[in-house]
Amino acid sequence: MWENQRVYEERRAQLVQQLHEAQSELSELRSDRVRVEARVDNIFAQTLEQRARTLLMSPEQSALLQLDSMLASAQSRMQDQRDRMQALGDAVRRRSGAVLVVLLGADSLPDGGLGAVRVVVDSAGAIDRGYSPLAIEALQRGAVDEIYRGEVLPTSHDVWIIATVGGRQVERRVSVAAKEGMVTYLQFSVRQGQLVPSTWTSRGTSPF
Amino acid sequence: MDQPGYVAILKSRLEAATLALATLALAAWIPLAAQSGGSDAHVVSGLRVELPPPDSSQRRGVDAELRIALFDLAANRPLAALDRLEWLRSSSLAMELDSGRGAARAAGARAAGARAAGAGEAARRSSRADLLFLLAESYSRLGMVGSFREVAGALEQTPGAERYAPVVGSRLMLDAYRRGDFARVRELARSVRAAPGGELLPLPSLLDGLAAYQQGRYAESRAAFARVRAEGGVYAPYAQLMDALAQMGGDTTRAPEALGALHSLAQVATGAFGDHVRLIAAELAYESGQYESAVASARGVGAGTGLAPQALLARGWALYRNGDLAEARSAFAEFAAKYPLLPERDEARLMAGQAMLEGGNAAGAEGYFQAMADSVALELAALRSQSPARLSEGARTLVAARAAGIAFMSFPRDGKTLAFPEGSAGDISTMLAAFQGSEMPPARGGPHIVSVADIERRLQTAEPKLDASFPRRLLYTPAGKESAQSYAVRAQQLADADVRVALAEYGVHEQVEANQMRIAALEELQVIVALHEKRLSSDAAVVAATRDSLAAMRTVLARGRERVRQAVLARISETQSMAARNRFMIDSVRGSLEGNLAADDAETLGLEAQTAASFDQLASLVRGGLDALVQRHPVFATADSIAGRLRAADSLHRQVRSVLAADSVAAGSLLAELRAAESARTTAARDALAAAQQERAAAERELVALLDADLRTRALSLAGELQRDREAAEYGSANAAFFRAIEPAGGTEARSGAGEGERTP
Repeated sequence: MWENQRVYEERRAQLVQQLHEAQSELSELRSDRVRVEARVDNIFAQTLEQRARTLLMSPEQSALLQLDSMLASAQSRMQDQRDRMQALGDAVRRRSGAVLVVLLGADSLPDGGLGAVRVVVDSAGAIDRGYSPLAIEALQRGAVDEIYRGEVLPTSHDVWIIATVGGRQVERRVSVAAKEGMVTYLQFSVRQGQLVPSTWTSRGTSPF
Repeated sequence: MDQPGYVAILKSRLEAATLALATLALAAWIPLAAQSGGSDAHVVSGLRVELPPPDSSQRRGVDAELRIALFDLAANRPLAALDRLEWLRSSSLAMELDSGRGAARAAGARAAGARAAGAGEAARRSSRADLLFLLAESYSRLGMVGSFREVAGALEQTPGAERYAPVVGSRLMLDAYRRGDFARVRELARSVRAAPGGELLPLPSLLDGLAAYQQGRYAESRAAFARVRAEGGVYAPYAQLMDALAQMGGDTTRAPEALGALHSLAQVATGAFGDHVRLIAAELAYESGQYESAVASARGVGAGTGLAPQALLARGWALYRNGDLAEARSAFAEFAAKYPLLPERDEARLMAGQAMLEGGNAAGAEGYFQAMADSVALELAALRSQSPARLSEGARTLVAARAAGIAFMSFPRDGKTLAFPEGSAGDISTMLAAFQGSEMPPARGGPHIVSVADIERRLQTAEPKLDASFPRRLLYTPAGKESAQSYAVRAQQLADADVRVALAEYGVHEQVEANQMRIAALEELQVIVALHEKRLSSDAAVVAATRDSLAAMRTVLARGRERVRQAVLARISETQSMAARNRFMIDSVRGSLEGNLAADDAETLGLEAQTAASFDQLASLVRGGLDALVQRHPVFATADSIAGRLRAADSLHRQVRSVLAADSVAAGSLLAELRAAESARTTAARDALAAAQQERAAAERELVALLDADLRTRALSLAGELQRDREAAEYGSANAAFFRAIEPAGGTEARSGAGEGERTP
């Protein structure tokens, strides 16, 4: 009885040992499988990426988009050129020019009054002004000094004014669109030590 | 002031390479200006701002032109102002706002919300009234009296012109006073006083008082002078002077009262006005028999001043009447020596001789009178030898020098001609205040007393100059009454014609400049065309580069296309192969289980077979449409789009080139036209100038004829005067010889010796 019991227990321990070993091997196999699976997944992903890259053709797409952008920009410029120059040419053919008038007024003047004034129209020459006390009084009482009047192309014009107001230099640079067949006024008003531009148009208010 | 801006800009525009230079100039100016501004000065830099498209505002346009004209007037450029204002008045287009249609449009614009700060004020003003006021100012400053009157009349009828009434009314009063229309002066004075602010103006009251004085309404004149004195200012002393005279009420017996007032005034009056007061006091004292007082007052007039001749003569007479013969002789002799051109010269010489004779120096007087008779005889002979042609030449010279007026100054030698400059009725500040609608500033400059010195100065500065042989005394010989009246009319015609010519010249100048500006603008267009051609070339290069790049990419794209194709084909083949394998396995299972296949299993196998077939069909479908699918790939779509864009860009390039060429041709053609011939407006301006010059020549001829005829009459008159003076001198000589003959020998010798030194007055 006791012998049988002992044989049984030895056999049982052996079997338990074998089971543990089998489980350990199985665990290793599982780990190996996971590793193999991961490797396979990786290779599969790489293949997919390569395929996607092949299919998307990203470098070619990028190069083409760059070309497209350059071309679009050139086209836009040419369209602008065509429209502007067409309009200018039409105005010349119709002989309906535009007149630009640049004025200076003074709503208010700080201490130190108004000193030298320089105006440049379209970078085409400087017009200098100096004002006597009487002229300044006139400006303050509503008179305006016509600094520039001339027939110009019906397009945008740059006007740059620099004035000494209250002992300091004040500068203003604006672009104004001269309208075809109209007199376009651009008035700089000295107000609170600054040059404040305003613009408007009228018809037939210039003798040429 | 500065030259007009467009002249400056035009000059610079026509210069080569102005663009770079101008920018450089400005850049150089900024630090320089900043330096000169001291430590507080600094540059507030401003970036270029693109202004929004300008609104249309006809009223603001007209208002701006009026304000420019106002500035021109303030800057002493009345011609520029007049040119602008006359043009504006004649331009129905520019002034259409004053019509109902324009006003409705303005109301619409206001309702839409006028944005600019000045628009509100501009809308409240009456453009028509402003225009007429500034026109009146321009005409007045240019001496165009007729035109001034016409515009002043129109202004009176214009609504909104009430605030201009005092200034314009004052000018009208001055004009009426000059014409001697004293009733009109007084009528205008009433309307000016009734206008807002008019009651405070001193000049209308002064003129009212002067007109009343001339009418003999002394009480009314004194009331007017009292108003002027109450207001104070530059006219108050003149009012005080005139009040002193008016208080005599035309009755010389009341002179002592007036003299008292004049003496009081003389004590405080200085300068030319003080001399004026003292001279009048001297003359009034003389008239009243107060010779010592007359002498004292006359001595108070400065020896080197404009009124010195009158004072000297008055002193001579007062001394003579007072029995101070030696001093009287000295004063008369001094007058004759210093002022040989004045008509009173021979009167003074005769009185010098007379004083000598009455002083007991008969021998000296005899010699003196004889020398005078000889001198006058010589002068008379010289005058009679003057050819009429020389007088005509003198008349032409005086008219050409615009100095004919000095021949018609009635009272310079009396020292009683007051000249009211245009500023008297409103200087620049007054004009500005009236335009602004603010309180009038006090008058700054009073009237000027015209003196002989003024006449001489005018003669010396006149160009062309009178020939040295021209008998200048004729200029001081009083003109005939009719000639003087005609002169006023013809001189005014010539003055108007002068302004019209100047205005027409200004118009031609303006049109020529406008034409040059037009040429400059077209040249600018040519520059712009050239710039655009350059820019177009650069864009064309971009297009070409794109085309080349696209062509180069064709191979890459073809390879890419094949690569994609092959990749997809591989997937198709794989799918089809798997589908075939599945079908085989299904068939195999179905064969193994033949007869033992349950219904569910059969259905499952059928579904599996169907799925495999579907995959196979799908793969076949994809294979069939593969090329089309690849074509829809974004890369190839983009490439196709670029190819399309390239075609459009080519077309656009051709269009721009064509537009630029057309612009160049249009600009070139118009430039050639503008350079070859003047514009119709310039031609019209030249025609207007020629017409104005003709009118001026006619006005000149008429004035020359008038002056020529008057000089001849004066020459006869002067010859008569000289003849009488010579006879008087000869009589004086004979008289002196008589007294010398009856005087004791010793005394005669002694007086004769003393008199020899006086032989040459």
